[in-house]
Amino acid sequence: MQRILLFSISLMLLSTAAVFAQESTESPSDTLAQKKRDNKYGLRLGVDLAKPLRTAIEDGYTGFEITADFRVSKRFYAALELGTEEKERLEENLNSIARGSYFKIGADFNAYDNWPGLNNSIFAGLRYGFSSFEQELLSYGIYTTDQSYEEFQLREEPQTFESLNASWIELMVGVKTELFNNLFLSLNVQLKRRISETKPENFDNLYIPGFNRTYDESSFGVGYGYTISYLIPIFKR
Amino acid sequence: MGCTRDDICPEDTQTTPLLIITFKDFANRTLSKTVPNLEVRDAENSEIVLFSVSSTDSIAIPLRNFDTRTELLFVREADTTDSEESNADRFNLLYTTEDIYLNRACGFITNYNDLSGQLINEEGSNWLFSFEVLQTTISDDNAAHLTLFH
Repeated sequence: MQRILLFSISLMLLSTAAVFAQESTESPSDTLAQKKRDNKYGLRLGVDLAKPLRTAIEDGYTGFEITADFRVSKRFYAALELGTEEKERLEENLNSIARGSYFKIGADFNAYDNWPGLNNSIFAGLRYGFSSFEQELLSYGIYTTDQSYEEFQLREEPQTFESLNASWIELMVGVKTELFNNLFLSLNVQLKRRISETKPENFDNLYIPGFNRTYDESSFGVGYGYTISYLIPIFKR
Repeated sequence: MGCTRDDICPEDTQTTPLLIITFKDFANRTLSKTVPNLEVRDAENSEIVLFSVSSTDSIAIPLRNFDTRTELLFVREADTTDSEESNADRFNLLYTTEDIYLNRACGFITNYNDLSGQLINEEGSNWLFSFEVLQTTISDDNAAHLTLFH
C-alpha cells in the first residue's frame, strides 16, 4: 500500500511541477534565436528521493541511490545509477534480510520534442544492472499439512550467505521536468529481467538490492524511481 | 496484496512427509492384517491423537519435526474401556531431520533420515510382536516406510 501511495503522490507532484515548469520558463521576451542555442549539455547528478523516504517510513528498509547522466547528443544520455539497499522480509514462517549494493549503467532516449530552450523529457532507458549482496536467513518454520502437533516452533539458527550476485537488463520509462534553472525532478518506472544469479545453497534470493523482490515463477522484477537532480552545464549547443 | 502463486503453497506439492505404516501378520509376514479399532496417540502427550479409532491395515501419521524422536502409543480395540480387551503398546521412532527449502510460498519442509524403531517390550502383554523399517529415509508419502507385525 505504501508504495502505491508514494507512487500516487509522486505522480501528482510531478504533474503539477511539469505545468509550473512549462509556464515559468516560457517568458515571452526571449526570442527563438536565443533559445535555439540554449540546449544545455552537461553532467546531471541526483538522488532517488523515494529511497530515503521509504527508509524513514518503512520498517525494515534502508536504501540510497545516486544517479548521474551525461548528454551525448540531442536525444541520447549516458546514464549511471549507484545504490545500496537493505530489506527485511518478515513472514509467518520465513524471515530473512538481504543487503548489498548495485550499479546500473546504460542510456536514456528522450522522445519529447521540447520547445526551444526547454529541457524536459519523456524518456525510455535501457540499463544493465549488477548487484552484489548477502542474504541472512534469520528463522523459519517447517511447512506441514498435518496440524496434529500444535507446537509450532521456528528454527532460529541464523545463517548468512555471502558473496551473492545477480545481473539483469532493465527497461525504464519516465519523465523529467526542469523545476527551476538546472534542477530536475524525475519519475520513472522500471521493468527488469534477471539474466544471472548466484543462489544460496538450500535457500533462495527473495530480494536482490536494486532488482527488488523476486518471484518464484519468473525472472521479472519491477521498480520505480523518484529522482531530484542538478545539471552542471558544461556547454551549450 | 493478491493471492499469486507465490503466496499459496500448492496442495499437490510434496511437503513434509508423513510416516506410512503397514500392519502385517506375524505368522505370515507377507499378509496384510487389519488392526481392530486402532488408535494412535503421542506417548509424551497422550492428548494428541494422531490416528483416531478405526480398523485398518495401514496408516499415515506425522512425526515431530521439532525433535529427533517421536514416541507413539498404538492402542488395539481402542473403542472399549475394558482393560482386558484394549491393549496399548509403545513404539518409538528415532531419526534425524533435514530441512529443505522448497519455494517462497511453501518455505522450508523437513525430510527424516536414519529412521530406526524401538518396540518397548511389556513382558508378554504386547500385541505388536516385531517391526521392519522399509525405508530409512522419509522424503515422500508414496510408499510404506515401516511395517508392524501383530
